[in-house]
Amino acid sequence: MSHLTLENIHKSFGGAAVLADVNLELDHGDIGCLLGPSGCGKTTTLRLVAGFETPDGGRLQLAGKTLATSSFTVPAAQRGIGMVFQDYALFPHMCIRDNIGFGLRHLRIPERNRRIHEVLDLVGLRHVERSYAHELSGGQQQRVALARALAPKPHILLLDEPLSSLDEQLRAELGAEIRALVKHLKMTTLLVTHSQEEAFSMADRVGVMNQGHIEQWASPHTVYHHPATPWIGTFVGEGNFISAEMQNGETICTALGAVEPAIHTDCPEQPLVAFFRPEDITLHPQGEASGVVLSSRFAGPFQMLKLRLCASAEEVSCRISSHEAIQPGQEVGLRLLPKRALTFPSGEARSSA
Amino acid sequence: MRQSRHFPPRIVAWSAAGSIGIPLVALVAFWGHVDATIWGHLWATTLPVLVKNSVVLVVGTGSFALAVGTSLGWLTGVYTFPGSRLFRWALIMPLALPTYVFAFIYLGIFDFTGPVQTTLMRWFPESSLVPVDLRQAPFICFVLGLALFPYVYLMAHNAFSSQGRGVLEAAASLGHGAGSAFWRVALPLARPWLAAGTMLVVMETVADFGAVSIFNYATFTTAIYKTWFGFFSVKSAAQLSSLLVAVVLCCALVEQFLRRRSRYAAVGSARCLSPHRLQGWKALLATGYALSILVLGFFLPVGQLLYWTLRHWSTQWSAEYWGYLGNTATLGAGAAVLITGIALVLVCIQRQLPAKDITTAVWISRLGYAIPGTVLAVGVSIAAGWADSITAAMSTLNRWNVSLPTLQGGVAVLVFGYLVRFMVTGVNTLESGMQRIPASLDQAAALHGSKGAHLAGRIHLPLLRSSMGTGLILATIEVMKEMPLTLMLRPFGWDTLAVKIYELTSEGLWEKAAVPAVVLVAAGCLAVTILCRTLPKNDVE
Repeated sequence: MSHLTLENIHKSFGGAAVLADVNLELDHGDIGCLLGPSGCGKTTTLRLVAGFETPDGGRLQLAGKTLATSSFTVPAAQRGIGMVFQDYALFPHMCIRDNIGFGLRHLRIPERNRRIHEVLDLVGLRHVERSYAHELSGGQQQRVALARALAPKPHILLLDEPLSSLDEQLRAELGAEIRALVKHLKMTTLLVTHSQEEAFSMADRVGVMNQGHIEQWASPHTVYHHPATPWIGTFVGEGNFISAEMQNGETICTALGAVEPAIHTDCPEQPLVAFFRPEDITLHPQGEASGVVLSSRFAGPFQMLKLRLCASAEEVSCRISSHEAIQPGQEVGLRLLPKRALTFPSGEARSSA
Repeated sequence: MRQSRHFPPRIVAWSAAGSIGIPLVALVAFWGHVDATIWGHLWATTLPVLVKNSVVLVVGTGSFALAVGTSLGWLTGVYTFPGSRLFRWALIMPLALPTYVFAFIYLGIFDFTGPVQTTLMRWFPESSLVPVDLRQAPFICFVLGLALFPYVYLMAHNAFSSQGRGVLEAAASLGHGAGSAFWRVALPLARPWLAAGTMLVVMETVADFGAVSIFNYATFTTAIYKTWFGFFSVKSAAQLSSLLVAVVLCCALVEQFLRRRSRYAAVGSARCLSPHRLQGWKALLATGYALSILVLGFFLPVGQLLYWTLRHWSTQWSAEYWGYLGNTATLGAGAAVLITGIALVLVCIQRQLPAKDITTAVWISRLGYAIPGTVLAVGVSIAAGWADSITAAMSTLNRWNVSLPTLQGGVAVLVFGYLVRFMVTGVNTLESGMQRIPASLDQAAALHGSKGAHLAGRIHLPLLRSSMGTGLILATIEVMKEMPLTLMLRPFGWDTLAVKIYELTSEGLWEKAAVPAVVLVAAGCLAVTILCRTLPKNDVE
């Protein structure tokens, strides 16, 4: 039985549906992440779990207890959740130890102090105990917020855009640190973000949300390489779509040649599109297909080429090493790597593009 | 060289600030001639009572306004309940009624001869509880508190609705319910705002003249007025005044300090979240409480006012009222035009010359609002006396044949008094208007060679047009409502509606006073509506 369960959750604000049939299961000790564009409902989902919003329909369960249905809801203060807010929401009128002790009023003073020291040691900030939030750096505030959320040993830890207000270098560092810490504590965690790096680097399971529902709930690897819908393919990373045909049920034919698809699906006779990532095509002098370079964008470790395929005039992007000297207008040989491309019915792909 | 280029605007700014500061200097200067016999007399007779009364009034009114304003600010800032959207702005409406109008209406309703006590006496002829004399501190504090609590309410509502929400959720996630979160987090964080709002209430209470004189309650302001008209002793009036000024300036400084601190007490970003919905008996209780304060603070007095007005309009409203109305409007509009004009110049100079001394000059220009009308009247008339003696001396020195008109007793002195007292309205309105004009506009204009008066005239002035309109209306209404300054400085034939209200209420003619009062209240409603529109909208449904 999973630790956190959301069943058919519905929620609307003033007549506009924000969440439509959200389902999610998170196992004990796992880190789940809701990823999606702004307005997709990911923050509302997190706030529902926290108890700051009540669902209009559906059921929410945590650690075997029902927390909310359309008719009944446990107040946020009684749910046993820990939350790190996007702006940290540290109480500015209390010093760090009082901030952390705020959720520990059920403990007697010696125990409370022990626990405060314990969580401060966890985040390596024992020395700032007597400081105030405004005296700390952004990264330290983030750690204090985490320590405060963990102190009462909650059933689940919720992180709202945990790294968004930090600068880029600190972001990667703290992301790894938080993941290591919650994994060590076996703390079930649900986080919300709009950044795929954040989602991929921290989560065991990623839920890609779009227009109020979860389109895919799977591991980061699956979400990236085997997106469930064409929309996910374009939202997470960059993707190419070109028209395709299925041959003998096991080979797909495209303007880039015939290849074996990543997943074999029973596709009836219908127009298809093939989906693949820019890194799934390589430049190859003896490639089966060729294209004209339209432009090249330098991105440091790699460069991104825009190409027009000679066979079909379709445009694709291709990611190659930034050391190769390629000029716009040049014709190059191309090869689509086997077991990389996915197929979608072309109607579905067009509607999402 | 740079310095000399800025010379003229600096002179302009400082002469404006200087003339506004003169009445204050005049009051302080009178400490030079402390008259021991007068002080001995004051100390032996009135001073202890004045101090005691003022302290009781300030503590009572302040704590009542603090309790009502904070609780309502919390309810409307954090929750929704039936009518909460209406209450959010309607609870500011008591500010539309001058405190002296509140006072005479409440006295009219609840005094011995009023409908409430006469009915009670008819029902319980044996009871020793009625009749009650309401001209006592608790009732006065209650009435003043009802009139002034919106100052606290506004501050509290803003503090709780913007800064409070994020931390409240944090508190909830740490296992603290609404009650505990209020006392341990929201209230301590809102403290600077609440204190600033309470300070405004205290200042208004200390400065109040109209309401306390209706209740016959002796405070510093009424004592100054009596000394002024009863003994015609400028000296003792000035010395009483300067005592009061010291108190009020302390309040003003504390308020400024708290306001500055409150800026740093914000928690993270102000997130706009849907407020929590109250349900069942809690919602009922919240609505009932807010409604009862709104009824006591607005609908009851306004209803009574309208009722009296309708009964007495035909007999009371006569040709002489057109004269009072004309005087009121002329003084109001005239002073407002001057205030807005000077404020515009100050704000434009401050924009283009962001130096510390200019900021100080603008701050001084605002000080007048802190000075009670009675005190200011004394200061202004001393200053006018100085000006008159200087012109007299100069004309004898130079043997000029033209004799300058004397200022004392002229309408110019009254208008100057208004200017000093209400300059803050113009400066604040225009300053916030100016802050909304992005600095990049000035830089864009500068690239085209526009600066100084050209920049002010072509860019700032057109963009400030609506702020100027707001400032004009607000200043006009403030001047119209002003009672003690007008009473003490008006030349013969310049009676205003406020003066008429004072005359009628000092004879206990509450019902007749309703006729001029209703005009002022209508103007006050307009002012509050305008103010509401300019308030920041940080509530999202």
